[in-house]
Amino acid sequence: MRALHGITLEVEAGSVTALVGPNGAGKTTLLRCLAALDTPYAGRVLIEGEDAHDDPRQVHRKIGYLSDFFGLYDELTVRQCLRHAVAMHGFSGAEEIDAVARVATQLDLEELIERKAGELSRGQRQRLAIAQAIVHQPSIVLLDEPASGLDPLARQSLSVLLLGLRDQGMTLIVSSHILAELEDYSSHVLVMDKGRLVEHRSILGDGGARLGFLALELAEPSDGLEALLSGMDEVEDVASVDALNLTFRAPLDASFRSDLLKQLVAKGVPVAGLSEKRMGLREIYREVATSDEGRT
Amino acid sequence: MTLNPELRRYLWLELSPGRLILMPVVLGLILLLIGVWTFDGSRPGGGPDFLGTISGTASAGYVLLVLFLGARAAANAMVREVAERTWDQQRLSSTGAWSMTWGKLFGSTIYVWYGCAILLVVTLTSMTLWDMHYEGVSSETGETIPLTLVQLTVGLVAMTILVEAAAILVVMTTVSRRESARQLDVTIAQIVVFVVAVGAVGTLSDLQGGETVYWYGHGFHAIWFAVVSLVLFALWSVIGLWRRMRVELQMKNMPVMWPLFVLFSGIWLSGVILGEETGNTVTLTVLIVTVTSMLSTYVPAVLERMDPVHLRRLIGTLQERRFAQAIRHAPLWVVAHGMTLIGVVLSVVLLLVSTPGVLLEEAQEYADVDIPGIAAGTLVAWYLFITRDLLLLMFSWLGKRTRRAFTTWLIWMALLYGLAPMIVAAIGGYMFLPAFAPFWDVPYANFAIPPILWPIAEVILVALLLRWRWKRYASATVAQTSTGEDA
Repeated sequence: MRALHGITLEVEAGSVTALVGPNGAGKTTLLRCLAALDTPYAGRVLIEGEDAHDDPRQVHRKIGYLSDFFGLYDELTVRQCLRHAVAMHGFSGAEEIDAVARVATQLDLEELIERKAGELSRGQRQRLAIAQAIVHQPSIVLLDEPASGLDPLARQSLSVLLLGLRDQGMTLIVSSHILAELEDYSSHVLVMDKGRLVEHRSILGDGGARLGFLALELAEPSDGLEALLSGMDEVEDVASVDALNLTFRAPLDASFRSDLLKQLVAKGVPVAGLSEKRMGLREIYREVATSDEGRT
Repeated sequence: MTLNPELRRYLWLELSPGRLILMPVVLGLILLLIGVWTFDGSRPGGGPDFLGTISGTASAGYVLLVLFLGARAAANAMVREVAERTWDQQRLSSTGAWSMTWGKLFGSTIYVWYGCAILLVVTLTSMTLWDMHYEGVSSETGETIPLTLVQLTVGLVAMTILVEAAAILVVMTTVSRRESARQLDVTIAQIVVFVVAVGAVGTLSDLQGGETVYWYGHGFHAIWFAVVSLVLFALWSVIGLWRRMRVELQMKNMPVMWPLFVLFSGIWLSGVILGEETGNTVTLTVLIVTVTSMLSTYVPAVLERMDPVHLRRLIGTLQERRFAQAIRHAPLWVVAHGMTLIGVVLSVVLLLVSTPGVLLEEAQEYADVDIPGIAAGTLVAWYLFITRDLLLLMFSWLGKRTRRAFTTWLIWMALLYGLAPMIVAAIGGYMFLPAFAPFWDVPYANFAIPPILWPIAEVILVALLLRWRWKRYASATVAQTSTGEDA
């Protein structure tokens, strides 16, 4: 059984990476290797410069991991669960109490604090599991299918929570096969299929703006337009659909589009229209999945 | 002082007020029901029969509580952690292996310890009263009462630790081998520790206070010898658990603890076998340590997971000449096998070169044959059979159905050591018997083919089969990698 094949990737600090792929693609195995729970046959995992398999305990201090089947001690109260989780990371006394109070507030668990974990709803259990994973304030959080089984409202609050963690400076890798839920907070996408890394790219532009596809329509064919667009800093992947239509990736904000139009008109390009063809995770995944690379 | 987090979790879970009241009530009722028949209110302490019954029942209750509830609670704790998916969270914590070891060992069984403490207090009190009023204890044991109480307390506590640590160790090993947990693991652990504990308790109860145990010619007070031995083996069980915990927590481990344990067990056993013997004991000691090592090679081979990924990693690190890492990745059976080889070489040299020692000399006088020569040949043959068995186990693991590898291997063993020699003997083919085991009543000189050639041929044959299967596995993996097939 080989679950992963020749994976090489670097995850930017502070990014939120959506790890997507069909069931059996190797997402969970990859996350478990990153968390130093499983040892790969070959290769290395470096977490902030530390080799995850040379010194896993050191790496565990920096990592928070929520597995797809998160385990909770059902007989313990929420407070006891959190106290245990934080104590297992070496916190004690006032530090332990403070950490529990902080994470209970952050995850909206204060009202449930004296209830047993076994009495909580699916959404509440999931919040508790995330709280346990981040109670020691890790710099990297790995979440395996965190929204699985949650109702739409709970999913929405999960998105808000993950954005909050990102804003605190945490690096997140979130696996899911439900792309819609990842779109709201992901800055990067990592597509896996059959144990291989198929695509790993940013879905934000240089300035942090979400990139999308723009479609340019011409009144008449214009020579050298493709080269002109390709030469622009913020424009990528220019492709001609036909003599009068082109598509390219660029920031979607209105000021960029306005500037672009001014430049094109100033250079005599017969522009008939410029429209947004937004490309989110779903489009990227579809594009990758249907490409030759994605099929191998 | 900060309380161990694992221990604290179990305190929260196990020691609820209701349970704290329940244990003394149940134990008190049992002792009352058994003791009431012998109670004599007119005599101090209720009479000697009453005090004897109470101390005997309480100490027997202690042992039963440990064997049934203690072993079960310890084994169940690990099975539940894995089954309820909380074990990964524990492995992801930054708690050290030692902290985790003693937290789990004493935490998971804290309620049993509570019951044991009650029974121990009852035992010690009733024994003290019995001795104070009727001299019942000192007349039976030949010891002063304080010394007897210390021996009993240390012995029982050591037995408790040995049983509970062994139970967790067995479950951790079986769970890790299968990468899943099931209730059967608890039963297996209970059976294993039951056998261990019956041996330990049997040894203790057989000893009389006045007896002397001889170990390498030195006389020791029998009960103290048993108690100290129990403490040492309990210590080894904790070391074993700590070592296993380090493996689970993905820490670097040099495989030294297992060889040291086997060496310790061999030396301890050899001292007991030699008893009052004071002559040349070196040859026999090396021989017994080697035989202990041989037998113990099967333990990690059977318990550890031997899947192709582990083997590939080991071979890969050897090919890259990263020897330190290769030793760290080496399965324990490889280390045990290497240690056995050293023992066999040493034993053969000592048997053939040095004076054999009194016990072997006595055997030679009775048998009138070349005992050292036969012992050396048998030892080498035995080593070769073990090598064949381990190669067969690897062969089974490299098959298509790794889940059934162990069962397949067991069938091979039953065939090679049981069915085949029985059939061969039944049809009168005695000369072929050395192909199946190293011990036969037939003198070696009567064999047309030197007996040692059989295991040599078998090792070569199985090694060739293993090489073929390994190549097939490696080429299948390469094919998978190049086509991207996810097996």
